[in-house]
Amino acid sequence: MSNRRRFLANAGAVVLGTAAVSRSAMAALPDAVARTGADTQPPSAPPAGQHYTPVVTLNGWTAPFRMTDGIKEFHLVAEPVVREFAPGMTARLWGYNGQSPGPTIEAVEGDRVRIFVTNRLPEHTSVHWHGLLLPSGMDGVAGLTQPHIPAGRTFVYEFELTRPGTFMYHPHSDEMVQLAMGMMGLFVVHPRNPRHHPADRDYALLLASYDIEPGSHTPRVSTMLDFNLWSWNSRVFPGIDHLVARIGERVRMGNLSMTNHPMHLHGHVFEVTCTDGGWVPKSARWPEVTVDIGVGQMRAIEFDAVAGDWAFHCHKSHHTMNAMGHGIANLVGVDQKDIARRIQKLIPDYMAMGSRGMAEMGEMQMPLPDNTLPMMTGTGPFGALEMGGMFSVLKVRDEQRPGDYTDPGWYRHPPGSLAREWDGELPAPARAAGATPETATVDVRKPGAHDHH
Amino acid sequence: MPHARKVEQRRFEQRQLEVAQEAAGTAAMTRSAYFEAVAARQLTGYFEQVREAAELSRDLAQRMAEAGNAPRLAHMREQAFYAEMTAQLARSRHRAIAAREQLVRMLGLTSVQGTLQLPERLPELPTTPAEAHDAEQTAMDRRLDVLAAARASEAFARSLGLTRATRFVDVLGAGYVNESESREERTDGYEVHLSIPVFDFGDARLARARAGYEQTLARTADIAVKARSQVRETYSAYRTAFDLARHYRDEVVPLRKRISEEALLRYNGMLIGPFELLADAREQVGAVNAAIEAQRDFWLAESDPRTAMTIGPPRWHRRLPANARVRPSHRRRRTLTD
Repeated sequence: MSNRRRFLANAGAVVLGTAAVSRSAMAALPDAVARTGADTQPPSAPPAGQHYTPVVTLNGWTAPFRMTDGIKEFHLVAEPVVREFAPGMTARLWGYNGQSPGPTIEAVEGDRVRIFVTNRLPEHTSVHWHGLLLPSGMDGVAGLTQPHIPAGRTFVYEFELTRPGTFMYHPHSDEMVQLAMGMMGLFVVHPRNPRHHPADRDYALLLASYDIEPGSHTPRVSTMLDFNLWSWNSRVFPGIDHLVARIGERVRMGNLSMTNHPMHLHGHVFEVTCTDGGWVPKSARWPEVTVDIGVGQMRAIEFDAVAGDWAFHCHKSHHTMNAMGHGIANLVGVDQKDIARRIQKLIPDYMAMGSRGMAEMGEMQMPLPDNTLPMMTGTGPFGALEMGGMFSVLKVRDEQRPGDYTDPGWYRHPPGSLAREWDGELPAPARAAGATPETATVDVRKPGAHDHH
Repeated sequence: MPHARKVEQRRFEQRQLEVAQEAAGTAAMTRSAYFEAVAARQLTGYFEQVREAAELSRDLAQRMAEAGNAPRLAHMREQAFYAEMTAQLARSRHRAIAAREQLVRMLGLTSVQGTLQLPERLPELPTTPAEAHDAEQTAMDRRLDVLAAARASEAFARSLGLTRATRFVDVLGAGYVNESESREERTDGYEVHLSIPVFDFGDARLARARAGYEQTLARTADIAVKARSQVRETYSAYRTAFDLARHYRDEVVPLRKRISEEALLRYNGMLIGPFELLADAREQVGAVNAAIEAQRDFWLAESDPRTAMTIGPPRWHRRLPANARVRPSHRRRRTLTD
């Protein structure tokens, strides 16, 4: 849902940026539109200017603009926001226009844009247009190319979009804190020629990392590496919407987290067709199933969608977990039944965990600290998904109508195309010469002998 | 009255006072020994729980080492902690026995078996603490050493043949020499008096006698001032012990309990492991222990204001030496994977 509210009714309160801006631009600010929810907004076709295929920002939205003398005007408001990471957990972040990430800015190659930035944070800020080619004085590096935008003031940026691609915006003013607090957004410049790299569906997401102590709401801004929530568009599994497709797909991914993310898509071979540096010539592309996205990089991958339910996730396995303890004792293979009974005398609600692995975490519903998601959770058509963080599902259906982004439900697998339990006879498994299975510590479930356990 | 008889009278009164103080002291010591014995037994239960938690950590670490999940070093660290806790439990058990034997001696019991049945726990705190209304005045009216000093003073006057008291002076407020009423030392709403007769000495040849009488008055005033001070101090000790015991019972222990509940939630989410949870359980038991000690300290201090009001100086340092406090370290210990 969107609600419109006017900021700074008095144009006289606007403070000009260092660059000259025409007087007519300052007659009034465009409305700053804010959102309160974390649902995915359907793609919004441009109300003016050249047509393009709009992107779908997963669990996000696209900023509206108005045309003034042929210039597309946007209004970003930097402000504290409450962002739902997944049902059951909210974070107190800083963002733009009511959410983190901020609204995706979409425009067309050759457009001139004018972006008003109102600072409603408790401290100064600035906006750097990451990857865009623009005059140095519009680059948004506070102290270097412009003064900081003080709290309560509005600056305006104006530049021409010289090349198409997918970019980002984020502060360059107390940058460590403001990035850790969630201040970022996507900036998509569509090609002027609509036949250039067309896509039927175009999804956009920003990778970010947060360190929110279980039981609290605000990220710890000084954390360098030890994050516990790995997000797409400030959402974590099971809060990330599924990607729905019929045919043809482009996914644009930017990484503003503090580490690289090898993004892996099941069931497809894709190509990186665009980076924030520009289009990748066909001759230079590698077929891939995983693309590693470095810090501060943007990658657009394209593929022809194949019917099915396909996992899409960061391949760092700890990045598909929610907050968890990394220093806890490893009890895999440690029998603790009798010890657990004794511990229960001291701690009545104690339950032994970890002896058989951690899968029980994904199956059991146990009371957790306030505002804390299970480290692994989620349920699919066949049971517990045991995931968290950077994980979602690409749902491709032959019958999905163009432009229909509604969830088609779980995939119905054609007969004979689904893995199933085998209960027939088995040939003896071949083992490496000299290998003896460690039956003492590994509970081997022998086929055809279910009672032996 | 013959002089010898008067002297005997004084000696008798003095002895009476000493016996009363001794009896009160013995009663107080016995009372203390009783609370010490009950508390020491209760505290042993605490050490048993701490040792049990340490034993569980050790057993878990041992299983982990056997399964190849932790180095021997981790197991040895847990074993060392468990060994230390075992020693502390042994000391604690002896302290409970020593405290009990102290009580047996105080009671003069000949056969312990079956005769001395200690309760499981200390009595609950009273709902409200006793107030200090008129405590100092009560001491002036009833405390044996104060009364004895006043009587000695009167007896001295009588021995001089003085019988006609012209007026009374308050040895606390105005003093004998300065009879002005302006030397009010208390402004908190109540006054304490210890009135002593002033005799008409008349003839100047009685100046020496008068000086002697003044001396007895000064001694009475000194004892009275000390008595008042002791009443105030014992009441403060009583009240502080009450407040601390209530603070531990109503604030510290429930807070630790809530902390343990939160720790269990974190364990549920695999944010912490069983070793951290067991360490937290030990800390929770530690808070319960501190609460027991505070409760015991209250009962030890409970009778002191009464003693100070009615008998004489309470024996402030009568705590049993066996009660030296030794507590296991409650600092959070390294986890196995640190």
